[in-house]
Amino acid sequence: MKFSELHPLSLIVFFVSVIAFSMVTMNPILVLLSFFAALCSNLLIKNGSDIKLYLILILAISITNPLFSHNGETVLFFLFDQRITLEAFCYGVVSGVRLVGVIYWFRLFGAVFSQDKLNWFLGKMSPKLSVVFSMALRFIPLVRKNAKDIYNSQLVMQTFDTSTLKGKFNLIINVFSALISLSIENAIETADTMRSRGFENKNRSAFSLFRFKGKDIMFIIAVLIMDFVTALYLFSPLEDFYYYPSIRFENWENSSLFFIFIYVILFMLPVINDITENLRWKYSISKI
Amino acid sequence: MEILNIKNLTFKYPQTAADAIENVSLSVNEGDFVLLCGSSGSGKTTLLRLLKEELAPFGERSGEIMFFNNPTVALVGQNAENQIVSDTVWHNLAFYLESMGEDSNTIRSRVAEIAEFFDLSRLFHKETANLSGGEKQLLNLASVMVTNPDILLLDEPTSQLDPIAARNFIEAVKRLYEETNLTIIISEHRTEELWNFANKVFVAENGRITEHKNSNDISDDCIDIPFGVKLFKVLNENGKYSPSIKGIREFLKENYKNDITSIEEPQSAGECALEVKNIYFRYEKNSPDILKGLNFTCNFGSITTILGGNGSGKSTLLSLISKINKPYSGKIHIYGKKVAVLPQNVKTVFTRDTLKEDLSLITNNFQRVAEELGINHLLDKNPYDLSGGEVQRAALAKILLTEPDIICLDEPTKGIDAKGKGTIQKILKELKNRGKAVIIVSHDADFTAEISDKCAFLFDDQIVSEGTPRQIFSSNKFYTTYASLASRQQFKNAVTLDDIINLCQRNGRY
Repeated sequence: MKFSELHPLSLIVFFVSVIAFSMVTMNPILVLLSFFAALCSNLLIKNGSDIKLYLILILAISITNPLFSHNGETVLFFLFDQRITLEAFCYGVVSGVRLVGVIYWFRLFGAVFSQDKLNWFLGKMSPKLSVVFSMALRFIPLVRKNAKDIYNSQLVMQTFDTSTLKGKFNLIINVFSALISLSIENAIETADTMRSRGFENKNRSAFSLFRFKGKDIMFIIAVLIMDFVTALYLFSPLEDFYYYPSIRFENWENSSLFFIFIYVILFMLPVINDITENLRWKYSISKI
Repeated sequence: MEILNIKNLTFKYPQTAADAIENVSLSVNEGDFVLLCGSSGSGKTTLLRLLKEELAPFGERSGEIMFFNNPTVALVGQNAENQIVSDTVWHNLAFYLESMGEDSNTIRSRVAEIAEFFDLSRLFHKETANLSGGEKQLLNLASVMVTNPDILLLDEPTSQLDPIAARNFIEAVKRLYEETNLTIIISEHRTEELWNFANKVFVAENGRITEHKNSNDISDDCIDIPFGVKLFKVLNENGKYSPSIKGIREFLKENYKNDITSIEEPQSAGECALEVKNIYFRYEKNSPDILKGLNFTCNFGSITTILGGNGSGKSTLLSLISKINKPYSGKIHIYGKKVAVLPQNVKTVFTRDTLKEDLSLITNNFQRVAEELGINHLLDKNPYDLSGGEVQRAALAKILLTEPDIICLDEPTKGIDAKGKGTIQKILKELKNRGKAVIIVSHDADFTAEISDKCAFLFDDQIVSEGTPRQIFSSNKFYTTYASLASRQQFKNAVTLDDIINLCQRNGRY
């Protein structure tokens, strides 16, 4: 089962932990690891990363931060009588990377958490809400098609002189009003249909095609255990990293390595999952 | 066992003078297959909606509708699009069960079962926006079958579908009927396939609905009767009763001579109105060609029909002729002054609240055209309140006001009953006589045969055969008219009811 095929609940648990952890820490090791994991996952699952655009964003933040923040001991040079410090620059780089890392996680979430998963989520909150949502999704292509049909019909009839701006404006107003009438007309019939299929019944349930499988349970338990371990690390002084007045990272111990290892596993879960899945497929083919 | 009994039912819509249904008494037994036929506005839809409690129209009502043993009633209406509630196929199927608060496992198995029965499993994950009309209507049927109905009401379910999709749908209904203990009441314009299958036929005429016993009690007003019944009526073969193609074929062979076997083609040649030369078209850069090297001409003073199945590019060709789209290669020469198009969804022609306002957007001198098309009494109405035939004539009036000399019609017989078809036929012939060029896009072979001077058969992005309807349909073996199928053993090129009658009368009986 690919990462994107996991149950929406598993995905939500994963993304909430990953994004929350990425946002709370400024430890450059953790930030870089999160960024790297997000980049790998995007490359593997979303087939693209727009890396150039995001590198520019990181660069921009790195440059901007020292222009506004003048803390730090190590002065690099003066610009318009303002101190530009190494510490502020480093802080800028790390927060740029952190921001882009979080953006990458959201991008992946958007790609993996498709409409039907979103609908599952809404259905858990309120079954009626999820119906409204899926009706809206159906309505968009329908309205678009109707708008195009009306527009073409009016254009061919040349009801409005489209050579002038006023005529064009008139055409659009008329098409819009016809579109509203047509949509309402259609919606009344749809409402009738819904009523005859029991929509007014009080205790509605929300059905979805997703099934909670054994793998989802394992996945969620694994994520929660690693969440616990990572949270311990983040709240302990081991993780503390100071940029101002000078860069300090004093609490490194050998046990830090263990925590970072867990952190990497957690963040690399999508990649680990999909690569083992691919290997398993290849292996089973070679057996056939 | 009786499942439904209607006694002296009368119904009147608010603010109307006439009763929509007048003193109707009917009885339906459990397991009946009832065919309800009659022209539009004869009260079929009103009756069916009155039978479904949630959809019953508002108005004055007297008389009784009695159901026995509390049957569940389900209804599928004519507009496939508007009965779809949700964005995916599976969610439409699950909708009713969700409403009833069923748990996921029950829903999963019920939905799977229904999808399998209606052969929807390959569409299961599809978005409804990407389904064809026939698939949508089949989905609607499946979605109401989830409700486990005892009585299934079908209100002109195939009127918006092309003939092949319509046949598939009717087959599904027949299978449903044969395999389950379902009572079905279906109203249909295309009665050929159901006339013999149904064990009761109700005929609706101006609000009066009666059970039909034999072919003699059908008046000429009700013309939604199968081809065969019509033929025997006109030939004055009273008492004979065989709507099947095979039956007609044998009857003609046994009773009529065939000394004269063909009808002479009238010669007509007008000036060329439109010439399409070797055009290529595709919608997007990377999509396949919709039209490939297509050639096509039509003349003034004639009616040309482009025939072809769904997705063969017929409507696309019209959009090129009307300059909505441009071919990427090839030329279209238009020798007329103006091209007008009656779109498939005729409602898209209107933008205002009353028909009068809408027509005066084009010109204030609409009286003459309105009179010719018989829409004078509708001028103050909202275009959306008109019936299928009326709204079509109104739309045609609007496009005729732009004074076109090339008139294109996209599927003008869709959702129109036999009476409406007759009217539109008359109007188009009148336009032809005035020297206009009329181009029709259609898959209705019978209508095409009656009306056109020339047919072009569009298949696989080009025109594969071209000729007069008699040439095309008498040489086609499968894609042809009922008349041609029924008479081809006997006559060479009879392709319409009138052709057969003409030849029969000239040949005489044995």
